[in-house]
Amino acid sequence: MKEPDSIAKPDYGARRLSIELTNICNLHCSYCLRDEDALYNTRASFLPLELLQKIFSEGRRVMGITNVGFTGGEPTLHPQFDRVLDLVVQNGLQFSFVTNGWHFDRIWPAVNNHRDSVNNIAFSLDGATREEHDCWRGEGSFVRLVRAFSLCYGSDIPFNFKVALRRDTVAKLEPLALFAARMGASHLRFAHVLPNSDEFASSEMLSTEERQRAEQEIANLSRIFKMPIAIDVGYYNTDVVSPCSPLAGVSANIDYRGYLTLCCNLSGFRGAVGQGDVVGDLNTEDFTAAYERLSAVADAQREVRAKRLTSLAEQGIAPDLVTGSPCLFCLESFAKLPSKSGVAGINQRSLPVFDAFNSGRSTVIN
Amino acid sequence: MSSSIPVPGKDIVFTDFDGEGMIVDLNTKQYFKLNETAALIWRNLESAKPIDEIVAELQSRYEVTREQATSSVEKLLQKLAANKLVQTN
Repeated sequence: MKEPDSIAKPDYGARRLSIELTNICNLHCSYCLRDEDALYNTRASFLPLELLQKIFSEGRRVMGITNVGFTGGEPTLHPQFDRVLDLVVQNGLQFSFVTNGWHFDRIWPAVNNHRDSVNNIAFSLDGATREEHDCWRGEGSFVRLVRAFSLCYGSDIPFNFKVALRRDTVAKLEPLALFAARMGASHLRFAHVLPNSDEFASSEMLSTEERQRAEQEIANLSRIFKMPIAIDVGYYNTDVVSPCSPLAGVSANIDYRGYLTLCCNLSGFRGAVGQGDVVGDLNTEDFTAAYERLSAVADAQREVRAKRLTSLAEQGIAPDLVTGSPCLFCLESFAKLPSKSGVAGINQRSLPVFDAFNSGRSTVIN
Repeated sequence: MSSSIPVPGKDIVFTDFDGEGMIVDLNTKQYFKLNETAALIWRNLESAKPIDEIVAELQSRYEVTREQATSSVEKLLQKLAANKLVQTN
């Protein structure tokens, strides 16, 4: 009988902060997890440089961060993006950011100027062809994306693609991997979409069986390709060990208002009721005190999850999809799921999923 | 030189790269780097400028004879055509 693959010790990556530089975005993707009012119906807000300097220096001192990752909204819309990167470098940090590529030309000189401090640049990709990508992001999006990553490729600046797992992309995993590899990406990351509305959950989210097949296929691709291929945390995982960097205390999030929050996936979640993941306003409060409360929230959530999983295991019951999928579990715990019925269609798991991503054969990005 | 004007293929994406250029062929998923002169010629092809005008622009920007400029354009067009990066209408 074949020995099971050994369980890899979780690697939560560098100590880091994810920072929402702004609430606004130039695109309108239906699967986006950010609150629509903040994205499109609220005045544009950009984290001020003074606050960022406080966050960088106190983040280093209190959390020991070495990296920052910029999100949004669309982070490249920050009008002082070049000054933001100056501050990052002055504070001895490495940076990454996720972008749709539309405004890359404008921020490219700043990125290239600080190329030694680039950890990685993530481009959101919705398809390996112009038609597939633009159908989600609008005409011209794919060409702009290609131009953006061409600059990175030509300058040896590491970039990756981030792909949402939906009904359409799950049928194109191999072409997407081939595209990323041929374009010279440092790696390819897939992530399950989260249920931002009942309608989206029922139309675009994968069923339990589809998720299983997708996770299996991604594991297969990760063995075939030289380029690392991974799935972000959020896949079915019943290990009681902390499944992600926020719960492990390795990362935290700062939203576009300057509030310290647990995780970038929970932050400003579309249609959310609960705000239990938001612990303090860094505009007015010391980072240390807010971070202590955040650590308590993370510890409590980790304990709740471990207790639930342990209890089910003792009863011989396989956790359902929400309980077994860390991001869904947190969304439910923090009252951010649009409704229970919204995930009813996907919440029918009866068997533990193939746990390919603890096998050590593929990289898990937390 | 042929009087027909080669134009960039529809699945070819050009990016300005510090005065030079980077081309991605979305069909073959291949990159091509263009030097400064080649990038200048490419930009003119994108705006469907006649070859004679491209030659004249090269002459105005660089100290080259008409023959040298024509030869540079012809050589580049041959390379672009060989890699299916341009098509002739």
